[in-house]
Amino acid sequence: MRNNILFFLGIFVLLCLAAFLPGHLLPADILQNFPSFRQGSGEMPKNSLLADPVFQFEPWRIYMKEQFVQGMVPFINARSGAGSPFLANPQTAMFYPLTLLYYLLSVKTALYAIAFLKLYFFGIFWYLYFRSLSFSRITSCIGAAALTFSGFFMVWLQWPHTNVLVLFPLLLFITEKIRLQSAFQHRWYILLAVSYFVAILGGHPETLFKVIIIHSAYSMFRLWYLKRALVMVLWSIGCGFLLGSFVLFPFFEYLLQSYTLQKRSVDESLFYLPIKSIISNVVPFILGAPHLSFYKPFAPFTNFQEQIGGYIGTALWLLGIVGLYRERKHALIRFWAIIAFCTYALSYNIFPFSLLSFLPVFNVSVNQRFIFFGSVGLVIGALFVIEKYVVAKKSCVVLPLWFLITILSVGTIGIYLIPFLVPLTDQKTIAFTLFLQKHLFFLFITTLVFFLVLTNSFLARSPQLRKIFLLSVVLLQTVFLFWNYNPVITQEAYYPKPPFLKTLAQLPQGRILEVGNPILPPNSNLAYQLETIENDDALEIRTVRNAFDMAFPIKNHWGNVDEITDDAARKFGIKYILSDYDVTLEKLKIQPDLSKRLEPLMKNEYYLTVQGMGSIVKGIRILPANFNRRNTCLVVVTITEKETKKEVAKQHVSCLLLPDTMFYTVPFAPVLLNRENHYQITFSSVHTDGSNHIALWGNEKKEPYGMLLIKPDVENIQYTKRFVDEGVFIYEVKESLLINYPYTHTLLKEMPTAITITTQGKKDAVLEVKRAYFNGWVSFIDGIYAPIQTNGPFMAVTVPKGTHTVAFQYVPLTFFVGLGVSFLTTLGLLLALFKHEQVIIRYGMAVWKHHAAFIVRRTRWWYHSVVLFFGFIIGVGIFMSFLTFVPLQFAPQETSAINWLTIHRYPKQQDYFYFFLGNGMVFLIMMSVWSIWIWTKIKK
Amino acid sequence: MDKNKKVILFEIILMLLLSVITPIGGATLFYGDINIIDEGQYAAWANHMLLGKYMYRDMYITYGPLAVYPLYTLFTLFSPSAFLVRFYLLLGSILGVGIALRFFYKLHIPFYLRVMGIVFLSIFPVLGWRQAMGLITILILSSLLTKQTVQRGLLLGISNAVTFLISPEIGILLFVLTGLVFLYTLIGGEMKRVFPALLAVLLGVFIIFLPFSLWSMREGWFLAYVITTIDLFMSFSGIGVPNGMNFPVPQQSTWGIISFIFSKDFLLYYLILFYLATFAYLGVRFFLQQSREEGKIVILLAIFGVLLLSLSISRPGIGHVFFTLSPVIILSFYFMYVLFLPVTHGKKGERVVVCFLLSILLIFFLRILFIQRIQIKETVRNMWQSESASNLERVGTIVIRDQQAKKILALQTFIQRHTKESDTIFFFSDAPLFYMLTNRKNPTRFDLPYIAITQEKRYELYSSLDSNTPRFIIVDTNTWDVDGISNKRRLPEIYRLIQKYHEVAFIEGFQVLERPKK
Repeated sequence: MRNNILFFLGIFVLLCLAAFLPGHLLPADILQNFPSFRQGSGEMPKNSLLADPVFQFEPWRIYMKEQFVQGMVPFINARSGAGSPFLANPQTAMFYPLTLLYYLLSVKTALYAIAFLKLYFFGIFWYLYFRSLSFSRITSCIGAAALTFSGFFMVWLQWPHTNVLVLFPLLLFITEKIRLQSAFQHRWYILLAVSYFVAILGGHPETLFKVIIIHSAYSMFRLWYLKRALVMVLWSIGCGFLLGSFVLFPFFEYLLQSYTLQKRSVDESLFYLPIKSIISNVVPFILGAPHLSFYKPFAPFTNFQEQIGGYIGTALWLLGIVGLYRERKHALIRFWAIIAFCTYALSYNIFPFSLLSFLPVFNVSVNQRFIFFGSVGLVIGALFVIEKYVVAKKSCVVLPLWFLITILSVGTIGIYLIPFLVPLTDQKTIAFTLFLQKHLFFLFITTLVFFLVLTNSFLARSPQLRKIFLLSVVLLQTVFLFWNYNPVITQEAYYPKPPFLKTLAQLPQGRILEVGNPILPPNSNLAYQLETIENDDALEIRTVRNAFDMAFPIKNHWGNVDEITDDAARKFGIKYILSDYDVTLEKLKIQPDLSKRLEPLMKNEYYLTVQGMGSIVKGIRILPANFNRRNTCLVVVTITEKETKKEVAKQHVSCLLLPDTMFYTVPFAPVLLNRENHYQITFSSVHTDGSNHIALWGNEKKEPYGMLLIKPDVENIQYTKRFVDEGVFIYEVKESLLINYPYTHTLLKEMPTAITITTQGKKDAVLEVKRAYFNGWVSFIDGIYAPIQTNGPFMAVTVPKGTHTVAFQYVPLTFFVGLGVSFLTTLGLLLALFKHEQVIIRYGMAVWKHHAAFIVRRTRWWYHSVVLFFGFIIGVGIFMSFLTFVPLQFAPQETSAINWLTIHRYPKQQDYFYFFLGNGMVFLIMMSVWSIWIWTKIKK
Repeated sequence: MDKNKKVILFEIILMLLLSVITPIGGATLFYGDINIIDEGQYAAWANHMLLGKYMYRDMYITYGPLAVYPLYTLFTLFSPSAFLVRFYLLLGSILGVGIALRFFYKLHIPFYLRVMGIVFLSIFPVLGWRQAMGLITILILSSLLTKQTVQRGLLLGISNAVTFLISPEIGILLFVLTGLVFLYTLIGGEMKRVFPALLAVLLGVFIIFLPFSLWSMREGWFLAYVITTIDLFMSFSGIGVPNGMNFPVPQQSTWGIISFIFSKDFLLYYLILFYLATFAYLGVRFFLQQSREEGKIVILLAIFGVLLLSLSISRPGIGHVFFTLSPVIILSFYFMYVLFLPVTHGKKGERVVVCFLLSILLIFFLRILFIQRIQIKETVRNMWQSESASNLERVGTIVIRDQQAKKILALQTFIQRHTKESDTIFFFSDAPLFYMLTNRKNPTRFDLPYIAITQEKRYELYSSLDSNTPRFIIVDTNTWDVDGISNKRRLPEIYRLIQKYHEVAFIEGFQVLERPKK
């Protein structure tokens, strides 16, 4: 009882904390990386690696909330990829319990609450698991703290990976409970099924796959001699999947039709960690960290997020190795040692474990993230040592520990000696060396303290003090290092609205295509209620993507379209083009290759040669690299006649304006390049030094990428300029329509899942709606079913001549079938629970009967009425307070109806919500107050 | 005849006598103006069927097919008249009161409370075919809860299906309730008994739905029925039709709050409070192991009542709260019976609480009575002041006010003079009764134009009027606007089309419009 109260009190405290903390726990300042958002400030984001939460998860949550408050289920995302499946994308985690907080609370509070509660539940579940292994309270706390604040969980905190992973310790705990149960208890199997169900809702199938592998192995190991229990565990896992059918069925349907599956299974190589990065498990910031001053990845295709996956604190990691070795006689340790070994070997691609990547699913998943499970093994190994020596009040004089301490000491001393051994001249290198010295010193000292406490015989008499010391060190080596990894931003930095977005908001709604630089980052259009043709949901409808790639074959290093044609733009119903250059100008690529970063522009210069064709040049497009810092140097671009060396034009550009790997157009006053002459374009730089310079991207011949923007002979009238600012152009495409029909037609209704058009055709004709076709879309002409023509990426239907109403409706059959399966499974599980737990219920009832008789005998019936009345008053009070402190937002539904609701702009769903939630809440509180009263009576 | 039988006979006679003054849409069987919308819609649908239209395919019917088809049969057997419509609706009401009486017996309510209950249920328009069928199903469900037999299961299935075909929304609620009951019996009962009963329920549903489907398919309106029913469910969620009244809020002053408690608006909260109290009562009794024999019926009625109340959220006006009152009234009389005992035998403190609770119930009933005062007054006035029936064609033996009689006569005369039998007319105002009274077809599916509020439906209405030009479009200038929104505002496209028509006559408040000849 007390534990339960503490558990809920913890949740309450965290929610209060979330409500009162300032700022937004979202790295939205990463938008500053985009020139379009920087607005000349040149400020760097606090953590440049945390992109997905800003470019995927938060925009998706915004869209989901927007749809839910309108009383609609977001089956389709009408604002991306010409209408892409949304509910079918598991990463949205639409029904994950913690995501529900986002719908109810304010954005600021919800962002904190989700992160805090994720950590809280993860910690509590680990604690429960360790307790079930008979570890003492503080030992369990040490283990729970190490894993909760481990590198993996902290760096992926805002990803759906951790939504799933948070359930992993609970699964282990339930398995232990099943193993230890004296009689067959169905509730643990049902809880296991529900845990898997929640893990499915978490929205990361890849992590779920890993969890299943490890948990299945664990269950087999622990329950091998309890065959019935083992079979039931497998049944429960199956039931968990059946419960999640309503999200899984649509997901599989989308996956099978996705571009990503095709792409991954064909050409994507799998990712593993480079073996040298194993040092990150002991010294996490060996190459810096993205939230600190210095950061560099070990290899091009991995990053800090991946390489830090095994970090659980230096001391515990080292102790874990010792523990797994020394306690190897213990069966559980043997299991976790094997898991640790295998997962590490798989993550670092060590033969023969690398062969696993040929197996199905392994061949399309990021296997290096298995490393976390290896770390779990190390923690358990470490806890065995702590438990054995600290709880048993022994001093732990272990040779390997001293060996490890010695190595660490030597390493630390070594780094301190570097400046003496190697003369450092470069400012940056000196600064980094200082940083590393501090980092190593911190780890060395804390680890030393940890081992000293562990091995000291003097402290052996006070195990509690000893364990608190150990816990402090673990927290220092985890929380302290990562406390600001997930930055908090100000309200202003939360999806700010730079001028180009303000312009777009004022223009009529239309589909947007991005050309050149990423100007509007992926999915962020959802945060601004804009529609883009690009879709970055990690799946993408195959037919749409293939058609898009065919229509826009030229892509740049960002994967963005780099050149467009009018026909292709119209084919995809694109109304606005967002570009980093003037698309009405002609383009002449002097040197198109940008595969290599050239030497920094310091004392050297780069050249390009071009023959003048009588054209008027208005700018040169280049691709700079700024080494992720603010540079104040100047780049000089000069155009000279090659033979006479006569300077034709010269332009200075501040390095502050040159973002990393983003195209920049150096503007020129119109320069005529004579047809007879050759011209040399020179790139040089002034005011540079070792930490203030830029470079250019180019080819192996040390020629920079360069594209001339030339005034065309005939003005391009297909595009109308709507906006221009530093590096951002908005053009409107003329006569680009979302409905293609040769005769008169009117769009009656356009919703994400329904489109209605009236047509008045003189002949039979095809009506094409430029919304992506996907299974589930059906069409009706005058209420009669008409098949959709699916020969293109969009929906089309042949409409007979005359006046007709054509309706396209999205009917997600897989969702409804899945919902039916989920519902039946729920019923089945409830039935099983009540049917098989009747013994407990009956026993409880028998005990209760005695109390009930006592209460009936001693209490007059109308006392109950009075107590219930007070309960009602309290319930109403709490409900009203809830509505005051958590102002719920509902929006009127999107409908073409003219009725009481639309005239009064009243959201209908609000009443249902109040009716059921309000009544339910007040009733529960009434009964709770009564129960408390009854309880006190029984106690007396 | 023993005493019990005499009592039952007395109650049945009382019920039948009261049925004469039972208000149907604000009037009694023989007295009072015809309700142009409530009675009118049934009249229009059944009459259109006589004229060869098919349900759903040619008419947008907001109820189940079995709510209309019996009236069509009556129209076929006798001749169509407003009296027949009223009589048909009254039958539903009598059936409802009869079922309520059965509930009173099941709940062991004493004679004097039963009589009061019959009077109360008769004089308030709370029971009709839809509620009556719902209550029948609840009754069968409660018997199944006690003993699961194949016969009862079969009966439940049939009753469920018939209820669904009369009222889809009540039918759905009952299917949900049936599911809950079976879940409960599966947990607590024996599989051997429960499972055959469950199969029997499915069989019962099948027995009704199969011939119905074949029949509707043969006549070609099955798909239209399915689409309309789904559309209605969507509409009830507030997407399609003009519904919606938010929870009323008092003015922020002491007097505002006090007057609010006694206002009509507070009626919704009375119901909520009533159900909360009921569930709390049941909860306490359950936990204290004091459940009564009739507790199962009470809980079924309470769940049914809450679900029914949730439906009323999506409907406008106080009239729809009455739609949900029947379970509350039955349960109120049960609680009166439960509470009266302590009044006679209890101690002082006990009596205070009982009096307080009974006072709340009394205020609730008085409030309903106060809301209905105008209708009651009107009914009494009609009975004493009217002299003879109007003898109007297709009205029947109903005494209506001269004003309405004049109106009907003028319209009937005009239509008979200026139109042929094959001509169609369209009422732009919500006045479906006149289709039956004039015996003319509607060229569109919408006898109640306000239903066509979504753009698709408006467009359908527009196309129907454009392609099947009616002889006249008639606007009743005195009509009541549903939700207080006139059809001019609600149906702008149709209104624009009508503006192209010119007025040919203005008779007794009817503006008659004709399309200009090309």
